[in-house]
Amino acid sequence: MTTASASPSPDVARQVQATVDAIVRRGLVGLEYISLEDPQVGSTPKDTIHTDGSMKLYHYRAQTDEVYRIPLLVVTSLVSKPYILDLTPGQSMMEFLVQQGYDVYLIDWGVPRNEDSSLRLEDYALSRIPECVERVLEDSGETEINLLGYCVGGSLALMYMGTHPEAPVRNMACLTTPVNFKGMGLFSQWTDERYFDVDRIVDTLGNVPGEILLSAFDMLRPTGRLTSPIQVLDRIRDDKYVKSFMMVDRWAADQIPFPGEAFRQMVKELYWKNAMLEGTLELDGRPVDLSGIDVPMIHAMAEHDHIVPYEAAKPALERVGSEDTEEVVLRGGHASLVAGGNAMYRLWPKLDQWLSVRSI
Amino acid sequence: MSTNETSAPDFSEAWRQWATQSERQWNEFFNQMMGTEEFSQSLGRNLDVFLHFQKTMNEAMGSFFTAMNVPTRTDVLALGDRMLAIENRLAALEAQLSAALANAPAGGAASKAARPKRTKRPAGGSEGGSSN
Repeated sequence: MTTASASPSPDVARQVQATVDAIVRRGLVGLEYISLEDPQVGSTPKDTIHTDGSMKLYHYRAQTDEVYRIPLLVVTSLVSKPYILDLTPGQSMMEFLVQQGYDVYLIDWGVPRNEDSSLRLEDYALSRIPECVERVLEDSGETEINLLGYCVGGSLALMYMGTHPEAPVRNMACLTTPVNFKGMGLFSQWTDERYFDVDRIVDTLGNVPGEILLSAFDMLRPTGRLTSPIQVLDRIRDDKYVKSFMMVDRWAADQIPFPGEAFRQMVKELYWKNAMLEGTLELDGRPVDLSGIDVPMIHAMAEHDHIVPYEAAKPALERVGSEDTEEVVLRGGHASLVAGGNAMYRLWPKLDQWLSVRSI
Repeated sequence: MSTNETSAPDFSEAWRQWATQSERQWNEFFNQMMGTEEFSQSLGRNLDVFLHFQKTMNEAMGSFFTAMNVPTRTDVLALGDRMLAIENRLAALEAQLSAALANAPAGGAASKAARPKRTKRPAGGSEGGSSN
């Protein structure tokens, strides 16, 4: 009698059976993703048209008969490798943009080498971005560009725009770009001026090692390493999700060092003084005047971004002088805003809608 | 008839909710703990210890390699710097060569011909983002 009441109902048994079957099947396919030593990332066809030290400027090969007139220059983050924007065929923002008919260029800052530890924010905003802009104009034969910045890449693009009122930029798109560094949550807490000896870090280590940065990112979501596999298990039947999760997870662990002097400046000027928000940031004696930026601008942010929270990114549009602005807050996190299954249905079409009419 | 049937409990949904809630609670707990001044202070102190250790190690290893007549890390990095200078000179030469080829009558024409026209215009309302 008791055995009968303890037996699972046929519905439950079927559900369990289906889940186990899926796990076994996924186990085989999933193992493929997990065991990929060198997954295909950043594979949208492109040419390197300019280099400067470890920096490379790529031009993506057109995949359409016609392209939009205004080329698009993408400024990637200094904190991570740029292939989050060109993750894998079918899940790549660069591939999407090229297939929509944009003439896309991308700045890859490269993996900082020891000699890059002397690079300052000036080297990026006053030297390397302008030289890439020049190179894009030269290569495309156009007189203006559209600019897109992701994460700290967006901050660097804003610094460039804020110091170059004459910049040949027609429109600007920022993706989860921090401006208010007091809003950076635990990062601003941990870099407390009283306890965080940034001079000693940079003087001793040169570049800030990727391992230290990775630990800091992991500490923002301490349970992440434990719960991530659970999330995969939960959506084990969703092929696309599992693949995209594995790729994004791999990217997140593929942490690069941060150039030492630029790190020192970021901590002192941006975290301690919040100089970008306060309008007191100067690069090589030139004030970064965000209010002087008057081009149409869109800023897309992620609802659950634990790396660049909404409070840190939101003021970007408030500080610029542009009249034509649009703020977009989409579901997802810092990486899933731009890559993976969610991005292709949320951010990319939105970006295309906004950019297409402004690229002719 | 079917309205009288009791549906089977959705264990996976209950488990999902539990996992999500637990994750949120644990993260909140740890974040609160790590958001205190004491934590920042202790983090700074640990970092100082690590940096002191690193500096001492670097110095000791440097002396050791010098005594063994083996190049130190600094020597290897100096070689890296010289290689970088060569790389940059090569890149500059490459850029000049590309520019010269592009400006040459035949090369310039060929490269322009290979490029698609810059005449694309946005399609009507429904096209945006449809390719994926």
